[in-house]
Amino acid sequence: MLKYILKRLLHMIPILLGITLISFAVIHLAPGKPTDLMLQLNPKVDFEAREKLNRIYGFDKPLYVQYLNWMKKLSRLDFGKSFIDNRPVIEKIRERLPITIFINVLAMTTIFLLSIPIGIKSAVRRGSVFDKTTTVFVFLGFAAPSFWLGLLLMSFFGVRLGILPVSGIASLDFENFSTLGKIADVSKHLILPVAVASIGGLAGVSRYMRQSMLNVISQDYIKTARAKGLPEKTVIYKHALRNALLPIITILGLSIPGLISGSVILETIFSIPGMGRLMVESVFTRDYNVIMAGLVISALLTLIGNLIADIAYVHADPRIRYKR
Amino acid sequence: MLLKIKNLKIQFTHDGKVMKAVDGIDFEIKENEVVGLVGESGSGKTVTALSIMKLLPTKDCTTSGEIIFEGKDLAISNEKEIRSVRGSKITMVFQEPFTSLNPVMRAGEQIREAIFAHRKISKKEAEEKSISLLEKVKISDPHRIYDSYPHLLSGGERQRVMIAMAIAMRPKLLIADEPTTALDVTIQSEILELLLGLKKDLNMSVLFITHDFGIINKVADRVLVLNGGKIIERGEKKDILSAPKEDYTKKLLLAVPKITFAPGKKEMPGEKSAITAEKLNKTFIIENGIFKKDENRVCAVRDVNLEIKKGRTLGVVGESGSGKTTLGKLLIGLLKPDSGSIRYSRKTAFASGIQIVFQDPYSSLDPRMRMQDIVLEGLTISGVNKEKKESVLRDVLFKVHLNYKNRMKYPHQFSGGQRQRIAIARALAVNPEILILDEPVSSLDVIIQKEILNLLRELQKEFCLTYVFISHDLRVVEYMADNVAVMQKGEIVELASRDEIYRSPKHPYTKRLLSSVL
Repeated sequence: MLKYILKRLLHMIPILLGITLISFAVIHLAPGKPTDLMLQLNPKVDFEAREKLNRIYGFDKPLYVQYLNWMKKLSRLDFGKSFIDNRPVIEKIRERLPITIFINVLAMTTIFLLSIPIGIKSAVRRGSVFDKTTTVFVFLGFAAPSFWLGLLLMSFFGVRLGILPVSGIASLDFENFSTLGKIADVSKHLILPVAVASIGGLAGVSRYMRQSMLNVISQDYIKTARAKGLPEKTVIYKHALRNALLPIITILGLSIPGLISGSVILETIFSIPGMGRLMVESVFTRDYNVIMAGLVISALLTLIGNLIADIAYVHADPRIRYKR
Repeated sequence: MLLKIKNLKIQFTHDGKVMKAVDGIDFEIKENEVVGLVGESGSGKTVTALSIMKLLPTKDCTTSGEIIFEGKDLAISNEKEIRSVRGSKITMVFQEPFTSLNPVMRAGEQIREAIFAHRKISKKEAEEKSISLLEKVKISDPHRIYDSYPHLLSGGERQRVMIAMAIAMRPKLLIADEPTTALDVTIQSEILELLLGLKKDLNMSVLFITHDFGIINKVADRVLVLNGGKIIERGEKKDILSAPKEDYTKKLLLAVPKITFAPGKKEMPGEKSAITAEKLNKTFIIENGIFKKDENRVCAVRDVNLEIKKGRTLGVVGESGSGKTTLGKLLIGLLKPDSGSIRYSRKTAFASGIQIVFQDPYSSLDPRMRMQDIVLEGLTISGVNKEKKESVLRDVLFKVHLNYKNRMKYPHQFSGGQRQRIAIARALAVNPEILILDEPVSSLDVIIQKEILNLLRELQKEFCLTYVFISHDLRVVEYMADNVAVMQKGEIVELASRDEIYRSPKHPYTKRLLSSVL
């Protein structure tokens, strides 16, 4: 197992190199430079001053030299400084990343905890009212764009009912609360964002779970289990579930990139100071260093998520664990 | 009377259409007897077996009639009562050992569970009992099997584990649903011996479901013949086998392949050779991971030499994993040999001179192509014009006895036998000299099997075709082949004329194969 993990970690190196190259290329190919905001939009700045500023930031050098310089710094885990406020990028990300990861972990947990029982139940009672209701829900969940759903939920729970806060992750007077009050306050703020982040995945995964379960239930070994005289509960939860979960593990791993990119929209709607919003702001201001750092870090998170999913898969399926 | 079934009817509803799977059958099983239930696929034999244990799906399936077991009607028993019978008094062994064990649970755990379902004992006791059960089903290394996951076991071992589970609670009735069909011949006879021995030891009755009269002859006391959901004939085994009354039973009995020791055609001097292979080798390397650290080498074909004369049939016999399919693929060029050479009589041998027909007509035809497109695809690729193709289509469909009117239909609209005819028509369309037939009748019912075999013989006679006939069934090979090659672990251990192989086999493996044939 250890050998397998090491191997997979080694595999990640070329992938990461590719990611840095693509992140770099995409950003530099896009029109506009960070200095444009300071210079071109300001008629008072003369040509020489522009040249000077470009030289300071290194934009006068050929692209590959810029890339190598950036990589040199990156290898020391130095993401450079933000062009906007001159703070180290790593510091800005450190402020924002935990919030995004926290919301995504909560969303993943919600998806996992809800979709699996839903999938099982609709598979076991195929064609029942419960199954049909969830089918409709799944269609809606798949079809509804998250920004629209977010706004709808905000207007209903936040404005009409007035029971949930609609933006940020804490109240303005957060500092004055007791520890318990603080937890309650943050949880209240997180309900809507986590709900919106989970709903798409919830719809998808519960559907996959249903399909996978239906598939497993028709297998011969389920017939064997029943023929042994086992109670139906044991047949479903011991024999069928373990097999049905195998494909779900892969699907959860695959849904990680979706969650991360979903954060961009989610955090913008709910004004959550997370990575997603930092990225959007940085794109608007052409804050190269922040964007590239953000891309590299979210790619890394995706890779790690997939690795965890694969390890879980190997652990869950003896056919892979013990080869003949 | 152990089990009495009265007027059992089972219907499936599919898309509003009602399909009668079992149409009012009655039968009885006495204590300590083996009843053979014979029928072709779709005759309702498996459905009958499942209905006894109430294992049929509750949705879209209606059952009526009485299933009286030890004086109690199981048909009207509730779930809990049924569960106390399932796995303890009535148990079942299924056909496919590869899919009937849970892949994520160790074999031992699955046996233990069969005990726990009916008796509260400690884990330690259950483990000891499971090990002793594994010994009872004659597994040589019970502790290793106990701790193994199913995918690490061979087909025979898996079927023994299934049997161990089935006899755990000393059942009164064991239902064996084609328990040996998926196994190699040598293993088949071992499993049958085992079942008969256990039946004696445990004083149980067995309902033995099969399509094979050879097996019936070996195991059954009484026989029921099922056709179209009805029992059309019943009686003592010797009566049915020696003097069947119904036409269908006669047909079924006649279709069962038998070794007849009929003399083969003598080889004439000066016959031209169609295909010659020298020192063929093929090794498969199974790589684990990209760094190629640990690789498994499987030698599928080792130093194979053979020659087939034009218009003759070489039978290739062997058990699963013996390399016979790999040999077939090498001969047609679907695989490249690691070393060795193959020579064909015609220079342009490849695409059109040599063709292949696969085992499973259900998966070897593209489900989204029409029959005529499947048959003519070889010609379409070589750019033959429309009129020519049309005449070829008429011609080959006539040869394989398929109706030209059905040319626009898709594969799923044909029966298994018809599909295999399509596969043969497809091969013949390009006018080949050699046909590789890789288990062409193994997945077909006996009657259809016979029809296809006769068709192949007809075609060979008429067009002087050369066959490589690959099969695990020595009975079928005897019917087809002029020469026989016996393969074991990638090597041809014996290659001789049919008469020699069947009348005076030399290699011990050939002898063993022949002795396991029923």
